[in-house]
Amino acid sequence: MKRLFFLVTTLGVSLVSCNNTGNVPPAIDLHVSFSHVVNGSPVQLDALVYQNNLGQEFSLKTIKYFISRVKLYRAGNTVIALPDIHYVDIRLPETLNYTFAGKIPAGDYTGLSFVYGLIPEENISGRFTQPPESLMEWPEPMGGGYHYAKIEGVYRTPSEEGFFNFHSGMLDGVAYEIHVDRTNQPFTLSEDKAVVNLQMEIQNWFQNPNDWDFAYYGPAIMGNHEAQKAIQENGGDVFSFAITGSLP
Amino acid sequence: MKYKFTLVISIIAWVAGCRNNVEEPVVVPTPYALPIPGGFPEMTIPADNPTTAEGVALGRQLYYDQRLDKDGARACATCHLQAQAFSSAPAVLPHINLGWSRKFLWNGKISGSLEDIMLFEVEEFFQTDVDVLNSDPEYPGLFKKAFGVSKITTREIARALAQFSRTQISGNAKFDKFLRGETTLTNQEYLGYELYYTEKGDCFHCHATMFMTDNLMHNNALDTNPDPGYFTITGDSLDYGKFKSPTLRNIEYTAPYMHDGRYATLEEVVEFYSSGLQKSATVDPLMKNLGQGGIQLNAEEKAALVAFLKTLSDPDFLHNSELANPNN
Repeated sequence: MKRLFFLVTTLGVSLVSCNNTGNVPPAIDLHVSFSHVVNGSPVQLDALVYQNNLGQEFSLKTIKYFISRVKLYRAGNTVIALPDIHYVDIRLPETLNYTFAGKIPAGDYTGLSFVYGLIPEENISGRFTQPPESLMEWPEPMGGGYHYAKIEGVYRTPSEEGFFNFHSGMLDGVAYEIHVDRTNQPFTLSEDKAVVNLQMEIQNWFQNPNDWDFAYYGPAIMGNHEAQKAIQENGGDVFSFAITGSLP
Repeated sequence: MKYKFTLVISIIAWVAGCRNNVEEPVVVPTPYALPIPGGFPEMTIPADNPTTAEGVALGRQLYYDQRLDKDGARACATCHLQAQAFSSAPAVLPHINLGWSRKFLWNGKISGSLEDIMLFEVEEFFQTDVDVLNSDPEYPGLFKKAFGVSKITTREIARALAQFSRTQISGNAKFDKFLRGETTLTNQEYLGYELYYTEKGDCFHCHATMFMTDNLMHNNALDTNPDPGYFTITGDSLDYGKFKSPTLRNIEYTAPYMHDGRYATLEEVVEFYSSGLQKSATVDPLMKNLGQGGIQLNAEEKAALVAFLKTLSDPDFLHNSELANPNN
């Protein structure tokens, strides 16, 4: 009995010691929450209250997109690659918070990166069989796979009013996914601070470097390489992130 | 010795007691493998209503039985005619591949599973008198075999209908054979295919996936003062004029078209999308050329689109004897 007590006590002390020394950082869940703003304020859907650099008014009805290939960079050139593909729909609250499948080590990170959309190797027709993801399909006559994103709404100029369907994807085998690089933005993750809030600034889709002319591009751009390229170029500064303590 | 005697007596009494309590054998329905066509995703089936041979057969019997109706005036099959892909005039939505649907009725009144829509049909549409079925000489035995129940309730009726509806699968149209590499499309059909699946025709956003529907609600610019549609369910003014996108599978057989059956032919429907769009406050941005009245197809393109739509016809579905009236 005495021996057993000694053994249990020793084991307990050992475990506590391991935790305290920090040699092996605890594995934690990584969460991400998605927010969407225009000029820094939360998106107001279905209201013709926004204006682009060209003075064209616009509203937002639909914001749907894929995030994939999330990578976390640790000091010492260690990279943690997360294989998850996550679908976001501003009208589906259950898609606005996500917990990655695998755990990651707590600690200091030098930055992160991810893909807006899907890389060609993962953009394969038929990989999503259930809605809502399956409804992002990109038809075979235009190359197959899936939309990276659908952002839709109404625009109005002094002379006309129409719809815009800011749909991006791989067109006829030419990939336009956006590799978002935030690898020089250090942060620390811990058990009680493991939520990445990823914010999309919608206005930036329509500027820098290309001022988006709703009237010029029209309501249908899926078959338009020039438009797809412009979206890709504008996507560089659309996303920002911050680490927060808990899911909203 | 005394203990042994007591033990033996107890065992005998327990065994005898068990025999007295066992009145009937446990009912174990026969698992039923749904014939999912190649290229279709798996169907999500509720754990509390697995598909069984007994359940499907019972659902089929009920589907064709007018006694489902409180007044005995109609069955499901009265309006959902197999010869018309389980639809009928003026605007009865077809029963095609509903096992993959999560939104039902033109105005989207019911969301959920087939069990949910069937319970609505039994309790609210037909207002089924369960006493009629409970007093029938055959139904109680069939329900016992399918669900192990001694008394029929609306829940079991809905579950049986849901099981049968899951077998109403259409996936052998010419277009399916084309996708499987078993046949080719004519030049005209192929032009229609390209129109359907590019933004020139842009049918694919709403009539999406293998099911040719996104099962979502849209205002497709039918009227300047549209019928309320989904608004009657949600009370949200942004839903005014929205209706469920119907599947285009077997569209050739399901005339007339739209939620009010206003178009008699596919040619009229294509003409509407080409030049007849009407502005209203909630028109979907996917109705891209609203300002021009539509997608502005020429005569050749209109004919091609109709030709492609007819490749979605599945005659096997219309003649599938396992879906027909079991009493014929």
